Amino acid sequence: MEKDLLLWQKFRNGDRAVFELIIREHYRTLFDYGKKFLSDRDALTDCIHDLFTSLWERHQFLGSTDQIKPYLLKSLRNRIIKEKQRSNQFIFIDNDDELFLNEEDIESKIITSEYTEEKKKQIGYVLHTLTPRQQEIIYLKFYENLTNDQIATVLAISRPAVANLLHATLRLFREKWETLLHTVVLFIASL
Amino acid sequence: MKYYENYKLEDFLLDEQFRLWAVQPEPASDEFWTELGRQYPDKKLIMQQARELLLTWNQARSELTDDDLEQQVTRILHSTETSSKHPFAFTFTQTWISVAALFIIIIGLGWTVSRKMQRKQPASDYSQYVTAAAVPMKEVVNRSDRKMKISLPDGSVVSLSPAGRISYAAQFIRNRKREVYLSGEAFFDVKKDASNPFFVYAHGLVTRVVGTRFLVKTTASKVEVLVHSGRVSVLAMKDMDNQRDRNTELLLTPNQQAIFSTRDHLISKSISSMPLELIKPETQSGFAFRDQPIHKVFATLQKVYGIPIVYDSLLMEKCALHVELDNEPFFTKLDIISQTIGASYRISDGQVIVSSEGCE
Repeated sequence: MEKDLLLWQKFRNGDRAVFELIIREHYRTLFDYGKKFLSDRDALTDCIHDLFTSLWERHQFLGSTDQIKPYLLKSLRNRIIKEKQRSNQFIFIDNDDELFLNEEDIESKIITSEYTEEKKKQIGYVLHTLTPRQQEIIYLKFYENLTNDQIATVLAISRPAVANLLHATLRLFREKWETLLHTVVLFIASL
Repeated sequence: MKYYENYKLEDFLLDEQFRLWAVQPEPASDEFWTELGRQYPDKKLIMQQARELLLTWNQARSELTDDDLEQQVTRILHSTETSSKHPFAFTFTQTWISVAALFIIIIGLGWTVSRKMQRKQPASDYSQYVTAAAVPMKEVVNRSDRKMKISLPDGSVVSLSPAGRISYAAQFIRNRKREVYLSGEAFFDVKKDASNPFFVYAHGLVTRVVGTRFLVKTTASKVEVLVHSGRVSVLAMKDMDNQRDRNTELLLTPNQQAIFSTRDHLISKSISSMPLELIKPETQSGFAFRDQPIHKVFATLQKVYGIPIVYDSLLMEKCALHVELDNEPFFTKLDIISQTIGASYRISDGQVIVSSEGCE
C-alpha cells in the first residue's frame, strides 16, 4: 500500500507525529489480537508498549515496508511467544470474550437468549472447538480482514499454505456447525 | 465463470466478492447475489449463514475502551520522548478522534519544523550561539593569567584556561541534557549522571559524555578533545540532526584524542602526545621486562595506557624483549622497544600500528 510505504518512511526518519498516528491506528488491532494469546491485560499492554518503544528506539535502522499492520501483528506475536515460552505455554485463548463460551453453558444459553445473540454464541462455541492455529487464522482473515498475503507475513508461512489452512479450517468449521445446529434442532424437538 | 453450484459455506466465506457484499452491500452486488440465490435455491440458506457469519465476525467490538486507548498511547509517547515534552493531554472521545488526529498532524508538523529551526541556531560560532540562546545564560570569562576553577550546578568542575570562556543555561539541566558552550581551552571533570548526558559545544564540534574527565581546546582552525578517563563521543555539530548518518561520530577512550578541523568539519582520531598511566602495571616487575615475549610487553602497555596496539602476532612470535623501563613517557617506551627488536611504528586512528620483519 502506497500510504503505508510513505508513513513508514516518515516514521523511519523520526517523525513523531507519524509515529503517534501509527500507534493510534493500530493499537486496538494489536490489543484485540494479543488478547487471544495473552489474557493478562497488564502483561499485554506492557508487551505492546515495549513493541512500540523498541520500534522508536530502532527507527533509523528499520527496513521499509508497505504493510504496517501485518508487520506490527507479526512483531507482537513474536514478542508474546517469547514471553510465553518462559512459562512454556502457548495457547490461543480467550477467557472473557463473549464470542468464546464455555462448553457447559452453551445449550441453555442457546435456547434462552435472543436470536442474534444465540447465533453469536453458537459461532463462538464452534470456534472454540477448533485448534489454536485454526482459530487464529479465522481471526486474522475475518476479524482483522487481512489478505492471504498479509496473513502469510504474520504467521510466517507461505501464501498457498495460508489458502490451504483457511479452506480446511472453514470446512471443519462448517461441519462442526452443522452438527451443532442439528443437535440443537433435535434438542428443541425433544422438549 | 465460477461454479457456484458446488459452493459450500467455506467457499462463500472465502469469496472476496461475496465478503464485500456481505459487509458492504451495493446495488450492483446486491442484484448479483440475489439473482444467484434465485438461480440456485438450495444455496440460499448457505449464503444466509455465510453472510451472518461474516457480519458477526466483522462487527466484533473491541474490549478496549477509548480511555484505555488514550492512556496507553500517552504512555508510549511518554516513554519514547527524548528531549521535548508534548504539550497536550489526550482526553478525546471517539467522535473527536478524527478531529484530534488532524490536530495532531498539524501540531506535530509545526513541532518538527520549529525543532528543526531551533537546531539550526546553535551555529558553530560561540558568540553567535550565546546571543541566540532562548533561555537565560550564565557566562564565565577567565581574564586572569591562571587557570580558573568553575563549579557547575550539577557538581561538575571546569578548569578554564586564561582567555577561555564558557556559557551555560542558568537552569543547567534542560531537556535531559547538560550543555556547555566553550571558546578557548578547558578541562572538564564531569559528574556522572547517565540520565542527563553532558554536552560541550565548541566551534562546530559536539563532545558528549556521561561522566568523565577530558580536555577541550579550541583555536580558530581546530578543536582538540583529549580524554583522561571514561568514554567520550565527538560529533560534528552539523551532523547532529541527521541521526541516520552518524558515521562521523567518534568514540574516544582514555589517552585518545580527536582533532576537529573547523574548515572542513572533519574529525580525526589520534593519541595524546603525552599519554597518562591509567592504571599501574599488574606485575611486580612493572615495566622491567626480562626475556618477555613481545605479546606480553604490548599487552602490558595497552592495559596501562589504554591505547590499542596492533601488530602481527604470528610474524612477531619469536620477538622477545629484555629491557628495563620505568616511568619514561609512553612514546619513549615505545621508541626503546621498537629499536630493541628492530621494528617501527606509526599512529593511525587512535591506535599504534607496529610493523616488523619478525625476529630470529
